[in-house]
Amino acid sequence: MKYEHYTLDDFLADDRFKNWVLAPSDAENIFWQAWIRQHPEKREMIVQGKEIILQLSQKDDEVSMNAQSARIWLRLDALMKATNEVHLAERTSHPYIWRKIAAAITLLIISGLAYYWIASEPQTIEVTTRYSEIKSLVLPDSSVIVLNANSSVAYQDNWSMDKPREIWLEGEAFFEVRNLSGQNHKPTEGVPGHRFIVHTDDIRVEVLGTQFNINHRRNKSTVVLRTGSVKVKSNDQQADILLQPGERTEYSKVSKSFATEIVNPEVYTAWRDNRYMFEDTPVKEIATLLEDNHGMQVTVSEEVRERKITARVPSSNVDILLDLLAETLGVQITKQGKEVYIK
Amino acid sequence: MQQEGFHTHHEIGLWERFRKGDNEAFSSIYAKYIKLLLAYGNRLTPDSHIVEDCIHDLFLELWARKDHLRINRSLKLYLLKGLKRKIIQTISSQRQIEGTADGTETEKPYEFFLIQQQNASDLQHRLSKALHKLTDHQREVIFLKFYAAMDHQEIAEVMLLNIQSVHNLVHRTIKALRKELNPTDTLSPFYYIETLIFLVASLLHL
Repeated sequence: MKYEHYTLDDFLADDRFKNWVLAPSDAENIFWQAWIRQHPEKREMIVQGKEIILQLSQKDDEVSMNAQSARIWLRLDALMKATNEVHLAERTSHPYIWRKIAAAITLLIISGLAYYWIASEPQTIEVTTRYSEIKSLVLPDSSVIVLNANSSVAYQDNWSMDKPREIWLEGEAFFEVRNLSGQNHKPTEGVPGHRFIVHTDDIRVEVLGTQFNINHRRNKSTVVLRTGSVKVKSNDQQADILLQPGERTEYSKVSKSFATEIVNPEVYTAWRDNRYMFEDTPVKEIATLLEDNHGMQVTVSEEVRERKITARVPSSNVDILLDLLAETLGVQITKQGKEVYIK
Repeated sequence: MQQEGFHTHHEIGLWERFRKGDNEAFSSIYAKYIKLLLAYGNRLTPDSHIVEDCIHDLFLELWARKDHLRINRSLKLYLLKGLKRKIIQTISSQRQIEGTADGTETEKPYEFFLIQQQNASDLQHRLSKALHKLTDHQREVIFLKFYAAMDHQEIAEVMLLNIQSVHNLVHRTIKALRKELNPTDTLSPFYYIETLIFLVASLLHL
């Protein structure tokens, strides 16, 4: 058939080939793999074509797109919730009348519908992840949160400059907070909206414009700071601490105090890239991780509990993760459903 | 290939719910197409304000006109065409107002920018350089074909060409791209003959 005489250019131009590379289905996989087996001289050409197509279809930088997308949606959303009073946004860089008229007509149509919508009640937005699921989300101020597995965040959707930006966390998340206070990186007196506060059961983390990881599991709250600076306070007002980049602090409800140490922040944030980074990490901590993030029930034998490993393992597939651990440690790991035995 | 549009139950349900005023359906539609529209818009103009304004207006119109909207083929096509039309209109009327002020601006109606990625691999670098050497039309067809995964009929509609022109453009573009990628590849005479046969065959719809 036709593919036998195809050159690389022909493959690149061919829609069926392109669709197989970008959106493979079982049926197409079977077809192409069989065809390649029958025509081994074309194998290299196919590999090259696949590589080029994948590169040409490379998606753009997620983070800046998320921010753009969030900005546009906020405007649309606000418009759709508009009350009877309709304000036309002055867009001084696009001062052409016909667009304003079109916008006015459109807005009049929408405000009629808006009458039926809840106007100014602030809604609480809650985002939750299941075991082994990681989600990214953009907040109303364009800050970005990466939410780890088995966690949830909640916040009000009506953020504005006259109150601090607040968010409640259960579990673990990585925060990239937008600094709204301009050059000086200090919240301006009298502008509450410059403040950004994360609440967990035990602590409040107040931040300026910065990147950090918060983990609240098993009644312990831990904060690891990557860049910027944060102030961490316990909710009962008994203790507080100013955290520097590269520091990790843990709050214990029992001792009612913060224990701080210097760490490599990447170890605590690698999970965002679907990887775990272990640096002299004892097996019992890894067991805890498997339970908290992946919902496993882990039993570790005594000899192995305190053994430490240094390794980088992918976290998106639990079976691969366990295989790698078994290999690195030289131990036996058996898995039955959600139960894992390490000996 | 799954045709983008209303060929699956899920798509039809989503569209119907949207037309009935379901906000959730509207936001699902937004989430589904926003990245593609941003990627396309960001490549049509470097001015992100224009891109965001036009996408905003596009969805606003979608919402406002939903009772009267007849989308025959595909929502993806409708949105991409609409966005391109809006961005071009914005840019050209902007220039009308501002005039050709300093005369140093020799902007074409639209420019097809490429977004460079950090940590690019060798192939990515070579591809990036090769893509830079293409014309705007050629880069646009690559975007629509591979990034937006469109077939030639859809590309013809967005680029306002007839389908034969699209076939030719795709073929020429791939050839030019590969020439830039592998300048040492000498094109054999057989290759030229094959190309000729291909073009003649497609003209005769063999």
